[in-house]
Amino acid sequence: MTPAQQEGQRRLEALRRRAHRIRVWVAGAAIAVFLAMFATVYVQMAAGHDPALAGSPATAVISAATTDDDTGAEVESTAGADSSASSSQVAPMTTQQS
Amino acid sequence: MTEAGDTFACFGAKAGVRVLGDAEEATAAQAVRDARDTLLDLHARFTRFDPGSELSRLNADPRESVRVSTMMALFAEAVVSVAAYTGGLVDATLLGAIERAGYRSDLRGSVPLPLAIGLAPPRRPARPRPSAAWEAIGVDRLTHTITRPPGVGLDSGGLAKGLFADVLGEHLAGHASFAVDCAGDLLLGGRDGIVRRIDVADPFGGPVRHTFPLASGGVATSGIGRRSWLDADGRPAHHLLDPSTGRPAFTGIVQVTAIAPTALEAEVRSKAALLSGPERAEAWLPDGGVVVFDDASHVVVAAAASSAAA
Repeated sequence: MTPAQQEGQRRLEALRRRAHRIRVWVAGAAIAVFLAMFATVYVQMAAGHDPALAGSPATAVISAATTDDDTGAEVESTAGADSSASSSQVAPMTTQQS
Repeated sequence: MTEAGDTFACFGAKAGVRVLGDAEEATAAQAVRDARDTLLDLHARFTRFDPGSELSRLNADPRESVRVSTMMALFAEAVVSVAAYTGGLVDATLLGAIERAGYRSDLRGSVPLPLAIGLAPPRRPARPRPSAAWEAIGVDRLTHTITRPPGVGLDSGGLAKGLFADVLGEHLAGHASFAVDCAGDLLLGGRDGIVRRIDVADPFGGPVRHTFPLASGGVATSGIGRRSWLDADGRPAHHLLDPSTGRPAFTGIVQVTAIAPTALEAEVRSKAALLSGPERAEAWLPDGGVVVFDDASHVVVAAAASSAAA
């Protein structure tokens, strides 16, 4: 192997090692990012704040009350509400004029 | 785990407290009892229908500066803050006007809403008073002293109920879940973020108008359907006044339910939305709400993307 070939091989190996380090770093970073995102979502879900159920801006105009449950009331889940940790242990509340 | 709860007469209506789970400072049942006692005590101190209450004595006091309890000072601060926040639209210094309109005792009855709507004057949004008394109120937090021009009286109304719910909420936050109901003004919360169903009552006496889930935050409903009467001239009257005229406001809205981070804010938003009229009501409901109009139709306003109560 000529000196030029030896130098070329050395550079290739260096490049390979560098590429390997990059692959390891990228894989590690990807795992880290995934774990961070998963942990965030997990904590949010565990705390009862499901991002998928977060409200979106919308206005529903109803000219007459429609009903869809046993209370005879329409159900709306976008008004600053969190529906991921509901419990039958707690009683419903009524807001009304006083 | 079973939820402890109690419902009792308070604020001229029904109040209630529900608590799930024990906290370090109290069991759920103890917390309910304490909350009930607190609300009844606050009602006794803040009612304007008892001349011996702290509020009545403050309103009757001829001195410019009066030392009051911590809670009364807090209420006075709330009166000023709320008026400033709403540009004077929600004004708790209209005591003289509400008494002149005929609301001098604890009214339990009401004029049927369709009749009141039929007899009401032309609809118009309410406006602030040009010279507002609330601007002259000062509160010294250190000495609990309220300073105001003689003759300026405070009406506890709904603002006090919202404030009381928020104060109680501070004490109940360590429980898994709680709900305070100050005669329709609600505060929900608790360490576990448990969602509760909220029913919005129909002002016309029909079935529940709307239902939504909420884990924490305030909910309040203001309207012209309760505590209403016909005055000496046969005109329909109620307790929500147009500050610019001192007369009951008929804006085209009969009820507003507002959601907000606190019960006091919810109370303010619901009143401001109703007084603003149909064109501008929605702007007062950034965390959502329900608006019911004279013709019995309603609009459900969802939370804006940049705002969330829970």
